[in-house]
Amino acid sequence: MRIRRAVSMVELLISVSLGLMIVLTAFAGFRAASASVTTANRLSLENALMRNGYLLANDEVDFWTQYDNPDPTIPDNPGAGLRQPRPLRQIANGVGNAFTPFSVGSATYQYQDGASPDLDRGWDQTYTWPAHDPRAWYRGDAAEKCNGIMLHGRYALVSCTSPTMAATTASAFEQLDPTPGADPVLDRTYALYGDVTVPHTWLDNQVRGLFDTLGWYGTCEYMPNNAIFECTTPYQAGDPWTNGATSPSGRMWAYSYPYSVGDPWRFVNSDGGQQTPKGLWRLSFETAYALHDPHAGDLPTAAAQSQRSRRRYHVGFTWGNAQEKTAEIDSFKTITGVEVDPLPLKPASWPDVDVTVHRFIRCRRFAAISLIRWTSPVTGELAELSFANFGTTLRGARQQRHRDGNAWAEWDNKAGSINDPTLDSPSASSGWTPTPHLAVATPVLAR
Amino acid sequence: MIRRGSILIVVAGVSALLAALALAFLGRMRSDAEEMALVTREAQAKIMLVAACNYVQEASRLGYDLPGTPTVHEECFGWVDVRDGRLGPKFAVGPDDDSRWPLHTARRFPMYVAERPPWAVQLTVAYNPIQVPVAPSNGPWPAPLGRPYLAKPDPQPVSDTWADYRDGDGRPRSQSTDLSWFRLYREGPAQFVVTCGAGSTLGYRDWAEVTSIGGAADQFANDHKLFEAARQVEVRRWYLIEWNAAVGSSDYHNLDNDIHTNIDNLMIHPMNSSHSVGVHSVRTQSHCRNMGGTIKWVQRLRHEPTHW
Repeated sequence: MRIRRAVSMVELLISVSLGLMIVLTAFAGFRAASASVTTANRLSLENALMRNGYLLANDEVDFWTQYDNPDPTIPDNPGAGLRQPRPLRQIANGVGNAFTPFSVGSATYQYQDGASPDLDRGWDQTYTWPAHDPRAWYRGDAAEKCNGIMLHGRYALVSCTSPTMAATTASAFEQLDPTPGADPVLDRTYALYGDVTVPHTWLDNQVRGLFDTLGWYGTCEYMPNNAIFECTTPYQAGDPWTNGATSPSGRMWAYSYPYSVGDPWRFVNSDGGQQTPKGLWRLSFETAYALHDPHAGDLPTAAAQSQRSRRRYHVGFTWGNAQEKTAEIDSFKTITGVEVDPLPLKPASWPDVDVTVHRFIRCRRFAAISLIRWTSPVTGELAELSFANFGTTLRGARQQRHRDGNAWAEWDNKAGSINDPTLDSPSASSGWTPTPHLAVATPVLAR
Repeated sequence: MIRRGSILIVVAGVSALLAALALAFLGRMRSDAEEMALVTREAQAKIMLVAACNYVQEASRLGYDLPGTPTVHEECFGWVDVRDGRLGPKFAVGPDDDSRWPLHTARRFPMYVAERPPWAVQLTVAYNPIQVPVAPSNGPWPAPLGRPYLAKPDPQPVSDTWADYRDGDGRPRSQSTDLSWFRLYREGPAQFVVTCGAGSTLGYRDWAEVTSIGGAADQFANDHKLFEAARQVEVRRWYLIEWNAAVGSSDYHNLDNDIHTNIDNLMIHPMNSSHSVGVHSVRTQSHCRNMGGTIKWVQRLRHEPTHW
């Protein structure tokens, strides 16, 4: 009798269970593998975007194209809703912005080769501000307030913007004495000098010209690091709210008096009411200067840009509470951050990456802070990388750009080559001519 | 046997899966690492820009030792001499020319980390920690508990002898060589072309330059292809910079604010002395000492210049 082979119900159940376990294990394995590959790909993509963001931030720090894009293919007025490529070249009411060419900037700051070095005017891009040159020396009274009564003397006779000055009235000083006869200090007599030839005018004109052409940030960068930021002119009557008026000693109120209405647009900070002429440290220990985002929606006009280029920021030094300080920082970041779009056409499923660069001066440091921020579309997780960068300065960026039209200015030091004029060059009609590079003995490597 | 075989198949399958996963992950990471190398080189090139600027600042005044005067560290007065505006750096007494660094010449600076720099001090945080009782207890505590005794000098040198402390050990750390370099070309009295390099060409421009200098090719095993391979993967960036002698401004702190008057007087702090009075400490620049001048501006060059 043949024995027919078969399985019992128990065996069948066991084998089905084992089979199911194998299938489930394999499925779980494949699922884990799939999830791992997806995660690895996503992390890799985030890394790639982060790397791209870092390189873009480096590029922006070196070429400043979010502030001023010299690409000739982008028209000046690209149309509604599109960014102006060169918004900081505009000039309004005689004052410019960080990228305004000197050749079309302030009328009082046009290049002129004077009869003597002190009578030179405008920006000379070849001048190195050497320490031994007397025309670059500050000659004001560093101890006097802008609203002082000149107890140390009338320094504008020695140095101011005008080569001649009429010192024929004492009224300016007597205005300050509310109770004549009551205070022997205030009742002093002021000498009248008549018409005076002022021996030093170059430096005051430089300060005024830079203020008018570039705004606060640019002026701070173009002046040498030991500069006292003061601009003295012949006395002009008027209170601090009158355009063109000066303090009794001739300091222009707009650059020396700290208080203003609305935005803190005056150049100097209050500094406890000190109001003496200051260098960059004291001008920026309490407040900061910054380059603003020129594409912000509230800056549609040239006048608005120029005003934003002439304000300071209360940030990082305040008597307020933590909430107020946080609000200051947030506002500062919003106004000063320029955004670089790393991948404008990226798929929606990719992580969001933002690259932002902030430029400002705080405690005499010129800072370029880059922020790279990315958000996972899967988890919503936000990560941020911030770092200080070092690269092209504003003057370097202006020298990268061609004076005429929208183009990069080429630079080379080959013998005989003449470099393109830049935003720092005088106008073509000024008589200024660039010098060709000299021949160089080769090899140049000394060791 | 059938069951054992099934388990073997399952284990082998899972292992293969894990291996495939690991390989895919490693492959992806390796690819990321290779792409990251470019970012690393960019960062190293930027660091070289900072190093070059620091060198220009320091060499303007601080950095010359002449062989004839071994015990004297010669001070200079700037690339443009602050005394007479002529080409420097010049010593207080000596030749009136730019022989320390002639115009239109270049030097290269391969960078590395020294085994021990001169004047190196230990990284010890607290040489004189204040001792406290092991178990909490009310005072008075017997000495030395709770006493801020300064029993040991702080800081202390890494080296055991004065000569070692003074001279350091200038040998390069092996992991730090061949990574980055900078090179300076004196374009004008105070203007330099900075070349920042992240790679292992040691700052030589090309093979022709290597072979023009006696013994230089030995550093590349006299192998042109080796040099070219190093140059192919190297990041090079060119910048134009200008040095200026200016440092901090000498502005004043008026005391009349402290006595609540609003007129000028002669009570003024000169520069660097007002840090002693409370909140006014922030009004001084005494924390910004700088003897080497400043870098007036920096310009990234879009193309490689003819001379660098």
